[in-house]
Amino acid sequence: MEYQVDYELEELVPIVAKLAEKYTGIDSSSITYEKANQLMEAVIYCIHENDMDMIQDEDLSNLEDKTETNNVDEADLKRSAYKANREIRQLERSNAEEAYKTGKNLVKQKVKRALELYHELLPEFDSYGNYYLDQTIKKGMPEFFKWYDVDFEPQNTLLTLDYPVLRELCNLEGIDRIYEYLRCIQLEQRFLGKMKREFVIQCLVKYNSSYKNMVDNLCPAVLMALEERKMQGIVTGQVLTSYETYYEGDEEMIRYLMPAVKEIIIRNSQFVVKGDIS
Amino acid sequence: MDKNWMELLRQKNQIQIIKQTNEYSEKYGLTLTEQDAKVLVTERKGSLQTQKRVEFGQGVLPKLIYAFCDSAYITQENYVDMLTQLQELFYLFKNEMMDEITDDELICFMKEQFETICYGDLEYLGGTCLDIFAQAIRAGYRDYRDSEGEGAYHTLDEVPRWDYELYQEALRDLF
Repeated sequence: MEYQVDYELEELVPIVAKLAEKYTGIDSSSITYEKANQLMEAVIYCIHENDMDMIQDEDLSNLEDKTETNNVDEADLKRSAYKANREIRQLERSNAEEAYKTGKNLVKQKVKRALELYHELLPEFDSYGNYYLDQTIKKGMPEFFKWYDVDFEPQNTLLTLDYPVLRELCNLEGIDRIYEYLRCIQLEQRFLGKMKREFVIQCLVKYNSSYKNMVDNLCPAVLMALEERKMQGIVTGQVLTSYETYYEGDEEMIRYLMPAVKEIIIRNSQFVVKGDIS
Repeated sequence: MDKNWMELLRQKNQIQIIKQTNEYSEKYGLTLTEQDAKVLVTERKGSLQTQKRVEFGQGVLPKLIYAFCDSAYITQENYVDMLTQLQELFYLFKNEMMDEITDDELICFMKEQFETICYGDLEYLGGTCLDIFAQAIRAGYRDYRDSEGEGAYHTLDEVPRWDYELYQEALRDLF
């Protein structure tokens, strides 16, 4: 996908030219189309980062309040806010080079924040034996931080992120995507970590006996088991711990897990209806 | 994104820059007229498009002129034609060598082979010397870096250039 910015090509080209000179040093006076495109995308990515930063948190929360459903990705919210602010910013925007420099610094700061997040996550991290989660976090992430190129290719995510998170991230690239991905993993770890490890494993085995090699998210398996328990509790009148208590007060986690929970509830209700008919 | 933006990267004052090289090349009896410079700029644009490359700054042509203008194989008559072909070869082999080689290294290599192996034959330069060199670079050959391209070809050359024994024998036969 390609980000868009409100600058004319004539304003961006001199920045690309400077970047190209920096890229080749004094060694080369020409580059391939492919490389030139890559550098243009790098410039656009940084400017876009600057544009996104101009959207205040306050605006975001206002938008969130107005949103009818909770099932809206944060990225979608940001995009909406971005579009809404476009016209205003066209009137009072900085020049392209300034926007690029500021954006690049923001990218660097985000890399730093992502690294901090990763270090925070790592000590308690548990893949529960799932190969893809384990590989992505323990092997993929260090490689990302090692090779990520802020100067010449910040738009490259580098990793395939094989373990899927519950939030749609395909509209993000580079560090934006990695940062959001790590935040999702952090939320998942927080959710799963509130339960006994044995219980989580038991849920996963029940969901898929070869869960260690499954390319699915782990949370729905646990949520399904919890939902099942909840239903049994209602039917038999037994007092069971409601799974809501696991993320009580954690708004961010609720927002993250809610789409999966809703899906499970819908699936279960269909099952009940079918059962009644038969 | 539209490829046209790459047009904007290209320098506008190329003709002037090319004409400035006359100050140096005229001592070797080589000069370029305004018309010649226009031809070279047009050819350059075509070569860059063919090779899917974009050039910025002063470009490589002035460097090629400064490197080759002292050659005995270039005359005023073939000057423009030679430069056109040299820049074509340059962009082609920049790609063939996957940008592993710097401008200066490639020019140094081209000039050396042009003078000592090809004796001014650009077809041999492109079809044999540069081709072999590009294959070696793609295969990981990097020894040329220490000498910046100088003397790199003799280790890769497949043709025996000078047989001392044969020379002595021919000499003995003569006298």
